[in-house]
Amino acid sequence: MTAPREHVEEISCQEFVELVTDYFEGALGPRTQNRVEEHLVMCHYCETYAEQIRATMRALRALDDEPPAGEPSPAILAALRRRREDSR
Amino acid sequence: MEALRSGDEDAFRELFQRKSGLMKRIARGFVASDAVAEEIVQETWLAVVNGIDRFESRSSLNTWISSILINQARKHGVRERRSTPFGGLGSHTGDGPSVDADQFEKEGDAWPGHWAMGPRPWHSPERRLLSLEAREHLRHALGQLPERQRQVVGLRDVEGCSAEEVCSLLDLSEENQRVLLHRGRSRLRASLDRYLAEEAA
Repeated sequence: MTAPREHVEEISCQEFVELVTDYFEGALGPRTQNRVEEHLVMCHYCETYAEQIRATMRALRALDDEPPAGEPSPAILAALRRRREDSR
Repeated sequence: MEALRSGDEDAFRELFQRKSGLMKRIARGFVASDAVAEEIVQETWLAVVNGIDRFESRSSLNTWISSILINQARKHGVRERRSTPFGGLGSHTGDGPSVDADQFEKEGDAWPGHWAMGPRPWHSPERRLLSLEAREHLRHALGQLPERQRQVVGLRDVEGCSAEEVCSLLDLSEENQRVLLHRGRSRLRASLDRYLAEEAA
């Protein structure tokens, strides 16, 4: 009789792509976390997928300098002017 | 920060140019028209300039500005009575899977649930994703997300707010915040994947 293996339940790639955010966020329970990490070691495709999610996040971060939405309104410029006068 | 306190117009204009586009997009998630979203951005900046003395460096400037923006946007949303109702996952429900099911092996195949072909590799993504065109594409794709996903991804991944900050800004549970972030990021990855494939073709 063989002893039951500890990690009988492997996760599938289809499950991995739905767990990847919880994995990055550190929100998985310890068992699932282990299974995800084991899967990533074995599965080159899911490793690629996870890296693409990371690349997406980096590309989003680079959008921080959106094009402007018009000009500051006269009310804002007046408020700035009052600040300049007050701080003199 | 000091520049804002002392009313330095050049410093203010720089901040305004850098942040207003994204602020408008976040505001747009709450109200029905572009014009109202622009108005909200202007009101937010006015409140920022007038209230800068109340800003405590405990939170980041980004988070503080975002919280003012969202308060203003909510007020308008209530006035318009057309804002997304808060509570529940809204437009998240009915979303498809992160990756199309036909990319995986089916029941009866050798490895059900495993990649059939694997994700298409992205060649030199760092360089290609930073091109002006790719950024335009991503901006557009972000704008196309259901509004609550757009708000969460905008605050987390573009603005760099923490999960806790986003939960409190948008009044979301941790779990709902993660679900919206997951849906949004997965869709954007898929969109970039199509973009890179077409660009290479």
